Amino acid sequence: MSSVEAFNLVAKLLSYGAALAATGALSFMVIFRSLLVTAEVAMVKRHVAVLLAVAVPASLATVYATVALLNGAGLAGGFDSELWALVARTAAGDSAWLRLAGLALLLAGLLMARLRLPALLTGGLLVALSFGLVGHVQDGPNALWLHALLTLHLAAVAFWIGSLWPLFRVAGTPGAARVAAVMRRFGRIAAVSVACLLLAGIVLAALFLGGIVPLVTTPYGRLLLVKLALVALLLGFAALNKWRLVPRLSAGEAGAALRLRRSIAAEIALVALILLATAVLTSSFSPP
Amino acid sequence: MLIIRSCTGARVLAAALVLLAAAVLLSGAAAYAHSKAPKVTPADGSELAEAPRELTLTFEEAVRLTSLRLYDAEDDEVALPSKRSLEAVRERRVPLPPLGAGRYRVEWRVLSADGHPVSGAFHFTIAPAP
Repeated sequence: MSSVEAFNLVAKLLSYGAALAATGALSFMVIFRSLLVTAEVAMVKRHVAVLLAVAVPASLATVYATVALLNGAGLAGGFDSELWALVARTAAGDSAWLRLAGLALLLAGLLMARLRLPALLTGGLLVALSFGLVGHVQDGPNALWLHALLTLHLAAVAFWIGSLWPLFRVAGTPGAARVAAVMRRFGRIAAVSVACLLLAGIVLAALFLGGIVPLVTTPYGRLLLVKLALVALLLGFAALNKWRLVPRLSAGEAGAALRLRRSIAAEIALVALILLATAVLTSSFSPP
Repeated sequence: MLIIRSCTGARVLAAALVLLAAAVLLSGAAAYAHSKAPKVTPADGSELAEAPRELTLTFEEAVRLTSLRLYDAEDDEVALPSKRSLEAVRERRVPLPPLGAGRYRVEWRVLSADGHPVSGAFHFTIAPAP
């Protein structure tokens, strides 16, 4: 892997992860506000601010990386005004500008409480839509449906991954009954969003691959299989939390909060791996 | 559930990381970029008795050629009259300067129709009959 390809992968990973997590963390704040204490609301705000501070430069870095890849003159090849102008007016540019517009709206929603809900809905939608402007979603006659499915998939992904760090922090606070109430509400919403995520993901994968066999016979399929294995592990941890650890926390069992925190930490690490697999999948591989 | 409980989180994650790394390494990422490779003349790996006067690259769909570079056997770049042509077309003909005997490598980079940067390379050898 060349230095430009590695730079592209890191920029994509940070851009995907931070933009989606910022959307999800802001929606966590809106949905869970009544259950959070003031310090936790401030913690989630700081978390969203950090994610936005990463997502904006990372999104610009993806455009820089695209220009450098197109130029073939190493990392310095990203400074090419002619190729910036080309990328800016093609799908790769549209995707980055749409994501940046979405992130700007999320920032407005973070700073202005009165605007929070409309800014979250429009900003989150723009961020989720931005990913589908580039890539195989746009191939073929079903582009509109594929784009809608991918947007649904990403909206569900955003809520899940954006909630993990706030949940991890909340699980470390005293007051088991309140913490358990937050976890139960998250569990109810997550069940719906995971169903959307899986349904949309499976339909997209089936349409891209055109069957089950390419899942093992093509490089794209095999990496997708790895991603699915990681998602299955993540679902295992989520199930463990929902059906074992949160009920124990509700019952006031000693050590339940610590085990729950460990489990959420493992989920965060798995999400990072799944995002890495997705960045590799969308950078270097092509469906059959 | 039992499996998860019997493993530590760290072990599960280490196994997941190894699985991901293995899949990436086994799959050979670079060879499977986003568009199908173009048809090229001179053909990849061909041996020519005469120096070709032009390169032809024909893609399955209209692409924008962002970089085309030619290297000789010593890996020195051979200047081409045009390295870039940004209008989206399927077929490109690029005139070549007079080339001597030897092995040449062509590296191309395009922006594909779906917005992805795609790259590839091919080589040909000029070996005049004695």
